[in-house]
Amino acid sequence: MMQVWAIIVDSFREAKAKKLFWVLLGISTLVAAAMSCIGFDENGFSFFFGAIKVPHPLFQAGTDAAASFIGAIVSNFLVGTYIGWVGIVICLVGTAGMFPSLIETGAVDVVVSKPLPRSLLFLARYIGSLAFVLVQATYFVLVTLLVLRWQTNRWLWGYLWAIPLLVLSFSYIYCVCVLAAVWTRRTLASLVYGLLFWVAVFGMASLEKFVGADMRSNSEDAVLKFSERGSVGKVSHAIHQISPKPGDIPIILGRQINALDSKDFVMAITAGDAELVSAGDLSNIEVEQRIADSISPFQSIGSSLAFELVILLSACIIFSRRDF
Amino acid sequence: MVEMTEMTNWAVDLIGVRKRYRGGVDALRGVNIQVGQGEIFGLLGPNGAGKTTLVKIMMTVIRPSNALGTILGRPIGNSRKLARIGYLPESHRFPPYLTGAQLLNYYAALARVPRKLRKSRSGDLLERMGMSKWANTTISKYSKGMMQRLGLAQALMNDPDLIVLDEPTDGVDPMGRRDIRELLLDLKKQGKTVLINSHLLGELEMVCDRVSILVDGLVARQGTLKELTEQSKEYRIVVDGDLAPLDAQVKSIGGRVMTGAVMLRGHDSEKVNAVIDLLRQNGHLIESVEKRRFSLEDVFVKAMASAATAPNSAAQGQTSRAGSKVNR
Repeated sequence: MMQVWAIIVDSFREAKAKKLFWVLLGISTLVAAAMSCIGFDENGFSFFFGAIKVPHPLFQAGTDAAASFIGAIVSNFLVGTYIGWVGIVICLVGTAGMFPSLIETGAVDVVVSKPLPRSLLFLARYIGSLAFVLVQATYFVLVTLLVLRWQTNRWLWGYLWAIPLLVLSFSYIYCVCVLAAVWTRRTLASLVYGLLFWVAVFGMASLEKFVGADMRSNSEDAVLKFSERGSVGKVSHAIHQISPKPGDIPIILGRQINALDSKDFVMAITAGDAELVSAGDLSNIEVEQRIADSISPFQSIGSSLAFELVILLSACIIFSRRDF
Repeated sequence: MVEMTEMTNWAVDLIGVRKRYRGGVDALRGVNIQVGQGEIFGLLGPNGAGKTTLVKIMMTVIRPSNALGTILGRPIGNSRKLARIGYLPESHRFPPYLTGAQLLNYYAALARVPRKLRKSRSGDLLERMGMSKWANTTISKYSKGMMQRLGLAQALMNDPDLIVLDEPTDGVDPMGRRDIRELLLDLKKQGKTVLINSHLLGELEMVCDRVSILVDGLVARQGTLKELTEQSKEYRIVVDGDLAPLDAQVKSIGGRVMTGAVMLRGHDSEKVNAVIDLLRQNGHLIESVEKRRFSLEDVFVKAMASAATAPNSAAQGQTSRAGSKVNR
C-alpha cells in the first residue's frame, strides 16, 4: 500500500507541475464566475452582477422559470458541453503524457527495479492519472454547485454525481490513451489515438442512433430489434453494444440531478440535443427522448467498464512484459 | 582484496545469461558472472558488449531469454531481494518536478523503506553527498554532477546489501569522482557488495577487487585484478645487434625475438637468466631488463584484440551448475 500511495502521490505531483493543471482550474473558475454574474431580481434578470438589467415577466427571482433557465445552462452548457466535451479534452491533453513519462528511457529503470509487481505499478499510475481529473472535476463541480445554490436558492445535490461520472467518462477514453502510450511510448501518439477513438465512438453512437432508432409510432421500443435491422444496423448495433458510451453520461447525470431535486431541474437535456439534430421535428424529438429514456445506466456503464477493463488488461500485459 | 577461493557465498551468481532481441540480435550470448559478497566488482567492456543489458536483466528492467542463478541467494526478480538492492541506472532521468528530498522519499517508499527511516536516511545521505542545501530545490535546477550524486543517494536509501551502479561517475567532476571512490570503499568496509559498470578503467582499477570483461555478449576475462594483470606480466630485455640467428633458441626457452629486444611472458626469473646467458654467450650486450606489469587497460585491450580474432573463444564453458530459473 505504501508503494501504491507513493506512485499516486507522485502522479499527482507530476500533474500539478504542469501548467495545464492550473490553466484548467483557472478556466473552471472563470466558468463559475461567468455563471455567477447572471442574477435574478423581482423585475427580471441581469448580467455582470446587475450591470446590465433585462426586465422580464417570467424570469424573476424565485420563479420556476428562473430555475429552469439555470437548469438549461446546467444541462446544455455545464453538463453537455463543458463537462462532456471541453473538460475531457483538456484532461486528456493534461494526462496523455503520464504513462510516456513513466516509461521514458532512463526514468523507467529505477521504478521497475523496485520490489513492486509491474501490474501494480501500472494500476497505481493509472489511478494517479485519474486523480488529475478527479481534482479538476471536484473543484469545478463544487464551485458551480455553490453558484447554483446562490442563484436558485436550493442545493442541487444530484449535481455532485458529476464528479464520479466525469471521471468515469474520461476513463473510457483515457484507457485507449494508456494502451497507445505503453505501445508507442509517445505522448503525441497517446493523445492522437485517444482523440481518434473518442471521435470514432461518437461516430458509432450517432450511426447507431441513425440506423437503429425505431421511428414507428405504434412501437414501444426505442431502437429496432436486432432481427429487424439491415446488415449495417446489425454491425452498428454489435459495435455499439461493446464500445464505451461516454455520450450516455450527460443523460445519466441529468437523471441523477432530477432524482434528487423536487422538480425536473434538468429538463432540457435530451430535448435540447434533439433540437440540434432536427429542429422542429416533433417525432424526431420524441424518438430522441425515447432513446434517452431507454438508456440503462447499469448496461451503459457496465458495458463501457467491460471495454475499459479489456483495454487496460491489454495495456498492462504489454507493460508487464516489455523490455525497457 | 577478496580472493576467489575465499568465497563461499556469491552475492551475484549468474549462469548462462542470454538475451536475444527481436530481429535476432544477441546482446548476451551466455554470460556467467560471479560477484562475491563484500567485494567491489567491475564490469568492463566496449560499447555494445552487453554490460548495460546484463545490469538491466539483474534489475528486472529487461527480461532475459535465458538465465539461471541467483542474486543475493534468490532468483532474479525475487521481490524481497530486490528490496535489498540499490540501483543507479545509466543516463537516468529523474522526475524534474520533485525536489531532491522528495525524490529520495519517493524511491525509498517504492523500496518499502518505512516512513520514519526515509526521513532520517534522506537527510543523512544528502549530507554525505554534499547536497543538503539543495534538498528542497527541484531537480530541474540540478547540474549533471548533482543529479549523479542524488542518484547515488537514492541507490543507498534502502540500505542495500548489493549496490549496482551503471556509470556512476558519468558527468561528475574530478573532486566528485574522488568522493564517489571514497564512498565505494566505505561501502565495502560496511560489508556491502558493489557492482560497477564503467568505461573508466583507471577508476575501476583503484577500487575494484575483481573485474569481468565483456566482449560481444560474452565474458572474455574474469578474475581479481591481480590474476588478470599477473597473466599479462612480461620481461623486455633490450639488446644490441641482430637477434634473428637466436630466434629458435629463444623460443625454446619461452621467449620471442623482437627488433632489438627479447620478450618473455610471465615473471619466471630462471627463464630470464637463461635468456641473458644465451645472449651474452653469443656476444650481445644487454642494455636493459624491464619488468612490465600490464594495467587494467592493457588487459582490456588484449581481451578485445583476442576476442576480435577469435570471437567465440571468449566464451566461458557452459557449466551445468544447478541454478534457479528466472523469477519473472
